[in-house]
Amino acid sequence: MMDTEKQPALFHCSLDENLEKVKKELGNSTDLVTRQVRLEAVDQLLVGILYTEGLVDKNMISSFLESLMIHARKTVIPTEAEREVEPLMLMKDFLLTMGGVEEVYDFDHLYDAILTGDTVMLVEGYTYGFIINTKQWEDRGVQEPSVQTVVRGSREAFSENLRTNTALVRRRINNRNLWLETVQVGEMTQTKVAMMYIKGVVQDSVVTEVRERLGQIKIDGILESGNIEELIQDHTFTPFPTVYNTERPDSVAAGLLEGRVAILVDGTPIVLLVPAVFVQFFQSPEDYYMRADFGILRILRLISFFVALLGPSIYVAITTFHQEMLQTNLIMSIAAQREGVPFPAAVEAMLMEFTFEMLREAGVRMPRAVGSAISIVGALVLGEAAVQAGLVSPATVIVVSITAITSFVFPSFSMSIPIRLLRFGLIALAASFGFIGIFVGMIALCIHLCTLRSFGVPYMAPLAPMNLADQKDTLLRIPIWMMHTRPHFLRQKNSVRERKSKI
Amino acid sequence: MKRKGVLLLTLTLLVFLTGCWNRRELNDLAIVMGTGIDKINGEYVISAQIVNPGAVASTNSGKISQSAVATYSMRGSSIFEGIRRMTTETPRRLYFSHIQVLVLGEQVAREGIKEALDLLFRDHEVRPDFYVILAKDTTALQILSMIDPLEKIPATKLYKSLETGEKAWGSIVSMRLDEVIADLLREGVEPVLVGATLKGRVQTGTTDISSQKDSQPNLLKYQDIGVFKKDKLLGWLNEEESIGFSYITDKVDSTVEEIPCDKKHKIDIEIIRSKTTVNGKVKNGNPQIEISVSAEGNVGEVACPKDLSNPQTIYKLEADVEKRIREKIVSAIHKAQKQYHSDVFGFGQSIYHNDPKGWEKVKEDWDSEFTDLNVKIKVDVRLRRTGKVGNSFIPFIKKD
Repeated sequence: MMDTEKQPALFHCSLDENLEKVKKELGNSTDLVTRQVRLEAVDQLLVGILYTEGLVDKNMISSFLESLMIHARKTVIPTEAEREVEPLMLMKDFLLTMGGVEEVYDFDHLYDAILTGDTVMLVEGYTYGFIINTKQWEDRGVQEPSVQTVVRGSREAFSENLRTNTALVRRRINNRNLWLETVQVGEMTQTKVAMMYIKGVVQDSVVTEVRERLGQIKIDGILESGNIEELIQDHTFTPFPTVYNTERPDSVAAGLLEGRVAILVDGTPIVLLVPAVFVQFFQSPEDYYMRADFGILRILRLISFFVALLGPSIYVAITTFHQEMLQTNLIMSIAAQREGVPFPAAVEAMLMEFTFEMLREAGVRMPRAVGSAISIVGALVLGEAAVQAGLVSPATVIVVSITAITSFVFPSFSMSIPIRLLRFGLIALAASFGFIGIFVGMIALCIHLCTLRSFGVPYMAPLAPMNLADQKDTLLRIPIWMMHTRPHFLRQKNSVRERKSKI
Repeated sequence: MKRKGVLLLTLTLLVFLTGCWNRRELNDLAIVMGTGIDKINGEYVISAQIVNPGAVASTNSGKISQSAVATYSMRGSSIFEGIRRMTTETPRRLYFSHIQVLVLGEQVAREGIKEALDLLFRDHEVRPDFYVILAKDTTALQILSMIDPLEKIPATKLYKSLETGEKAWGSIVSMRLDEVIADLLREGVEPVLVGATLKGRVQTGTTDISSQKDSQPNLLKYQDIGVFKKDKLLGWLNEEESIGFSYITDKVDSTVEEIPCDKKHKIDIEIIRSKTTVNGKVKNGNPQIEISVSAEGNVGEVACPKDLSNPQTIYKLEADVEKRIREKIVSAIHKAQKQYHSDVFGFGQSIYHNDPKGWEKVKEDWDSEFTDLNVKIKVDVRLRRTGKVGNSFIPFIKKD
């Protein structure tokens, strides 16, 4: 809790006083429901019930009340002489038909319970009560993934409910070694954050490291797994994501099987996987569901990476510094397009890239209803009008469009953000120094990528440091029956994935 | 952290404060497609053919009223001087990376080409992979100015018809600048350059297509190979000798050999493959050259009644083609030996390659050795196919 030094506030004997105190401390919040019931069967006990409306399962509440008020009379309860225990314990044993029942002794735990959807039962004359698990709140339910879609593969995506999410993972890995740890992060929000891993596969030090980093977070609130990601990543100043995120339970299950740790945060469908490596962002779950030759598409994605990163800068470098590199006919047609364009190629490219990025941003933010209007304007401005007005050359439009398309090729959206950023830097370098600038930029980028680590694993693994055995799932995916081991760079305890299963 | 920030700021400023050294926008460049060098009254006249991209690129194909190229020329005591002085005429800076042909005027070639080539070989902007050709009986400027209706850019026309002609006919040889320089430097070989010449009605300096609409298109053609000694042009090999030259230097891709079959008619054999090896050695102080040509051909055109289904006919044809090729080779060698005394075939080179020690003995007076050189020629021709039909239909045409 916030202040561990403070003594926990214990309950009074008087039920009224307890209820009043709770109401007062919750600021008479209107969604708090309190109810008093007199149990005629059990010593005429006065029972108070507290819960938060909207967070509880109404059916459970009504059946709970039913059991107290109706069933209690029918139930054969030992007579006063026979019983050796307190009436409250008796109630727990005979009357509370709910699954999870715990005792509660102080107000802090009471608040915790009622604010997370449990029902608390206090009894007149006793200084403890029961927490009854009645959590159930409005939930989107398990829906189809909206970002990481595949043609072949599971159609389930995580939702906002932590319990649903852990269940989705457990349904895929029915193994007692799939362990789940939950911590509460955020001093205000008390958000539940769960770590999942497969004991015996995962490297223990990674689990310890994740646990420590989660424990070190001191912040008022966690609203999304992105908050956690930023707080636990190894390098703060890098455009590249060093934590993988996904909305697909099958991706998480695959990650766990490879020896990664999944971090699930209550209230978001995005689950984190660590450690993450560079090539992981080019892997789609589909690569493993389709036949192995489909894995060739990885190369396409890698090419797209370079096109998206370097497309405009190479265009600028060639047209302003290295005109001799192009074939004569090509240079002629590009030169013809540039006739009469008032801006230098670099400015032109920057202009178009900015316009495109703005359109993209607007496309995400704008209300659905005006979407088509913006896209018509965007297409006209970007394509037709700008060219016809002679402000930009058609070749630039082509280059920018190709770049735009290629930046959507990656299965993981988080990889397209660094590319979008770095592209502008590279255009500036290309405009100032030509290919020399681009090369210096690329070398700097390489050095930077090689210094990155994600939870102790080199970011560029298994390319740098090179591990020949791990290449089976890097640029290509070899058939599953040939993938005998899990990727070594994660240094699992148990690296055997598959043994001659093919006949 | 502060120092890092300063460093980062410096680096960022470095990018933006350089002023973009050497930056050239495409629309500030005058792309030179062809260059010509003439010599008039002891002074060089440089011509540069600048392309107008707007008129060439397909986007503007609707309006061809614009002229596709502009050919500027300027005098200068050196090439460099001429080129730089030309900027007083041209609106943009000349950009030489995309040169496709260099045309040397006959006058320059006769007086020596070495000075003319140095700049283009030295300058970093110029790629030495363009073709060098000669203007035969005319000036380079004239050659560059001839418009062809199919190719809007004369330099491209020169470039393309050189490549096609070399592949399909064999009487012309393409020489890139680096090859010319290499031939000038290597012992035992002299350079050759193909000549382009004008034919038919000539309009001076026409660069506008519309004015050419009625005239016959083929005003310009490649003809003859110019024989050099060192860097000076001595004379020309005619078409037949040129094909002979191509056979010797293994440059024949495909050509056509004509064989008389009776008094009036001929059979044409298409050579589809040809391989020549030249072996040179020095025996008893005497250099000897052995040329062996092995070619494959098809029957291409038959104008007389011959029974092609009979193998004997084919053998006879093969022997005839061999004889024909031999004649061409002999005539080329004869002219080079007796008239020009110039080893354009690289016989010295092949001796040097096969018998380096022997070459040391003969290289001192190779010129005279070459003139009296004993050349053995072996030609082997195989005919493969006779086309879609066997015997010609000509003898079977119904008579009146």
